[in-house]
Amino acid sequence: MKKVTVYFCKNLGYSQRDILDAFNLPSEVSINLVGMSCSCEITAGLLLKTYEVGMDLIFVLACPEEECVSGEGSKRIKRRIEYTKEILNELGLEKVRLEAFHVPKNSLGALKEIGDKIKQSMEEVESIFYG
Amino acid sequence: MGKYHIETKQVPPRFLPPGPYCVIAKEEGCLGCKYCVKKACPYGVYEKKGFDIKELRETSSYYCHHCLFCVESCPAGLISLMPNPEYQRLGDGYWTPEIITSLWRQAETGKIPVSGAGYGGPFVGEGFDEMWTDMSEIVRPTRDGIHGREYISTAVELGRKPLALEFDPDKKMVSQIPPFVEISLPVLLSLPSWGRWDRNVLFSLAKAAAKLNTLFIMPLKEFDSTFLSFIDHLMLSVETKEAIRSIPAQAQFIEIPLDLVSEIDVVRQGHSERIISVKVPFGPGVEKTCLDLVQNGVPIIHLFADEHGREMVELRPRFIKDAIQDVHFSLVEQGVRDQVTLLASGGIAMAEHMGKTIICGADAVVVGQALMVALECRLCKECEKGLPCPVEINAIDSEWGAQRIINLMGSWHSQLLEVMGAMGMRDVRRLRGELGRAIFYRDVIKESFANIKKVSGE
Repeated sequence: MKKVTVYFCKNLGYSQRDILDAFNLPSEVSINLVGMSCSCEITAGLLLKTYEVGMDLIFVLACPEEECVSGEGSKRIKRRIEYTKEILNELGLEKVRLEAFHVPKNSLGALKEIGDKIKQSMEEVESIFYG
Repeated sequence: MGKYHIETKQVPPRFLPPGPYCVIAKEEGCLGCKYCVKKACPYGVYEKKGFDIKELRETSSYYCHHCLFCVESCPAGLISLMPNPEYQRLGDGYWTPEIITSLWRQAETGKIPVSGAGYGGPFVGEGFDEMWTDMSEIVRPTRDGIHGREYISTAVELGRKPLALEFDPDKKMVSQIPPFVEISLPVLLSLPSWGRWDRNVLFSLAKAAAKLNTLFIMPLKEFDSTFLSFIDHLMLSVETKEAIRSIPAQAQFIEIPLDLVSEIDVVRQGHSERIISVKVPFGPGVEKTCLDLVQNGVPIIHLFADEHGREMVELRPRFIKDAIQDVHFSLVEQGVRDQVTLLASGGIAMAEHMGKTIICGADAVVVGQALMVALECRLCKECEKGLPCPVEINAIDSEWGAQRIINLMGSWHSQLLEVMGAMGMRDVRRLRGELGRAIFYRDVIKESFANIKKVSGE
């Protein structure tokens, strides 16, 4: 069973049910949704610890850059993700295991698109393992 | 009998409770100071914090006391606190996040919550906050503390009491003493009116009731032989007429709804020692209903409001503290108050609510929702929608649950002793209906401004 964690900024206003419904991931995927007060809470250390407990893929849903409540969380998250990806690469893990998305508020359509991208990433990881 | 003491001990939460603020410590731009402010945190937040593998987040917000020391001291200004939306969404307008967090802390430590030096909040509000307890004896410093030699009793009797004892010419007592039971704490445990609670939760409550020497009001439909060892601490709640037949013979305490009051004799048949409580909703005409019940020999009346302490009417519901006063004083006027035990439930969310409800006329209170909070319930009511519980409350270990409830009650007991000690009271039974020990905001306003209105009217 693939284990996926989605960190999402609670200021986006989406409930866990909204995200689950929009993603509509296959039933064999175990998904953990973790709400954060702001995406600036998410650091490289936190992401690596999350991999440590056995997660296969991690995705971050952040607010649009100009709408971040703390002013810089959404701006920093992309750079932090890139930095963590480099560490993953050094560890021999694929970069597709980690991605961050800036999601518009009140747009279930956008969430669905992100769900499709997540499915695509999962397929990529699967193809690396099973050819 | 020795002094009543509640043994509390540290019981950590299973799930990380959300704190009011999240600590945001940015790494970008760190000056790499030799003496980082994080090391000097007065609460050791940065040393204690870890990674919660269940919730996949850092635990700093739980330990942080938001003193802002690190925020102020970091030379690069990299640390900030942010309001936690998860915390703000806890509970509702009555069961506020502050109350829920305070209950969690009390259940974890068993200690009186101390919020810090000074109080920055409002001094008056709605409901119980319209009422202040009069701690007129607080001028004298306690010689040896509330647990010292000046014992303060929190025991109350449940059951019908005779108003006088009769003796024959040979000085032998001829009065029949009705059955009663003494509980050591003026609190009975129960389940909330909502939710799906499994056996582990029920066992936690039953074990806690036995340890605290009080009663747990348990639905009869949930009772089976595995609960028999706790039967002396269970008040079985019967819901239907048919269920009366399935009451176990050993049951001494039974609760019935008002519409089954005609069945009291059936419940007592062959068990004259049974103590019966009738559950009556607060609502219009509750005073008359209670008077009728007392005159019909009902030993205990359990008056209940909704979880926000409001009586069961849509239009201008009275709050529990006002409704219980009305019932209490109507029975006092009729000269029958001392015959009956009045229990009150609904909206009892803090230790002070217990004391205030007793001051307003109840003998003891029944607590439900606060106990579920002690078991980490977040009052999200997802279970009512058939969704999984975010804190898996039904998967608790009953020993863990019992100790959390004991801790909460231990904290409430200590707070009751503090209040009574400050009032110069030595027995909680004397607190009942003692309105002179309370100040009501409406009375203060009346005293202060009534004359002004009169003058302006002239």
